[in-house]
Amino acid sequence: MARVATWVAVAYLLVGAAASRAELGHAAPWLPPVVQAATWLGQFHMFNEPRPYASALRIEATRGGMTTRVSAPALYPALRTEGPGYLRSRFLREPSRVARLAADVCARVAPRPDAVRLWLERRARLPAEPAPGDVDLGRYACEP
Amino acid sequence: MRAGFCAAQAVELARQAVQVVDAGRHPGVNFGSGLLHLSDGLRVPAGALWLPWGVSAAGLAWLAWGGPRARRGLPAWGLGQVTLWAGGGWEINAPERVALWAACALWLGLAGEDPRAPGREDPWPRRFVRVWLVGMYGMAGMMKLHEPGWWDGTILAQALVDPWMGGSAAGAWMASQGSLCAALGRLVVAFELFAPVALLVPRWNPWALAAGVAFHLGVGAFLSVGTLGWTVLACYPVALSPTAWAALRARGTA
Repeated sequence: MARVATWVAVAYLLVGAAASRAELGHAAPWLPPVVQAATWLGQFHMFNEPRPYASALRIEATRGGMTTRVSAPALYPALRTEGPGYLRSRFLREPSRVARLAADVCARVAPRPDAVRLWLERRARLPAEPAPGDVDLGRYACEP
Repeated sequence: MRAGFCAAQAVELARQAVQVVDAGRHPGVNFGSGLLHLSDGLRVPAGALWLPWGVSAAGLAWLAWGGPRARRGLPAWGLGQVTLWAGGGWEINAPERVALWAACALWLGLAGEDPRAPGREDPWPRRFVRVWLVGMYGMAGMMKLHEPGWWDGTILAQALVDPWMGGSAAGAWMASQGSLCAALGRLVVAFELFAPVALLVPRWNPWALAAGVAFHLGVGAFLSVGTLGWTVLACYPVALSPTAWAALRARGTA
């Protein structure tokens, strides 16, 4: 086991050295170069980044010139502990999926609206943090 | 390990029962976009998901029962789980990945059991669990080391007040204590960086695992991360060094 661990450690450091040459090893300039080289794998970010805001989905349905708010959690209740699927960044990144959501809102809201507009509300997570402001996800006409 | 794994996965199955109901709630829109966008084309109807859920539950029961049935129970549990993941839009998160690794270790243990020599120790499950834990803690520690938000406690504070992951009154109080969050954040980084080394050194191995128990219990107390911590803790007895096991047995018989 010790021999295997040594070989793996040597291989890890060699790959890290090659990665540094490719200018991948400068993600954390406050760390000493030796620590940077030994922890090059830490440059891959998965779930460790700060999340700058808490988000919520705001749905506005327009019918005959009148705009009303539709509750997203009431329309799409989330039972899973991970939170509502419509707030996942992977979902919101794809315009075609957001358009599909808008079409589904059109079908679910009664009476059927003429158009729906989706907003991503962005609120500060901690009191000291600034609120980054809402993002307009687009206005979608409801096909009859 | 088998008992701990079965207990953790039984809780996970109860959670997945809710997920099966949830999968049928929004038939018009698919929020899942996980693995290779497989959920665009491969999605199991919500009603049909009760079948793999049942297969998984039966497999887990066989696994818990032990004996020759355990070897059939584990693949049945795995098959049901993979189908459930497909039905949930292939959203394979950390608890699912951890369960998969733990199942691999368990399978190695079951496959290595020699009925002619009961009690004979097979080294492969221990090797596998150690390599997995070293990789998991090491990668997580290195990522956190490169992220200043872990040094000043911002990320921990954000997690503690997260509407889905955190939100307890104690967690909200902790999030308001900047220096406490910074100290805990640094402690987490220190544990995740030094645990991989300590796990492989026989003398430090029990201390690394004891620190790991405190770490996972602490996370579980303040953050809702499902059965992840329990599944990892179920694997800890396998990662304990043979000398520490012998010392524990000797203390138990004395």
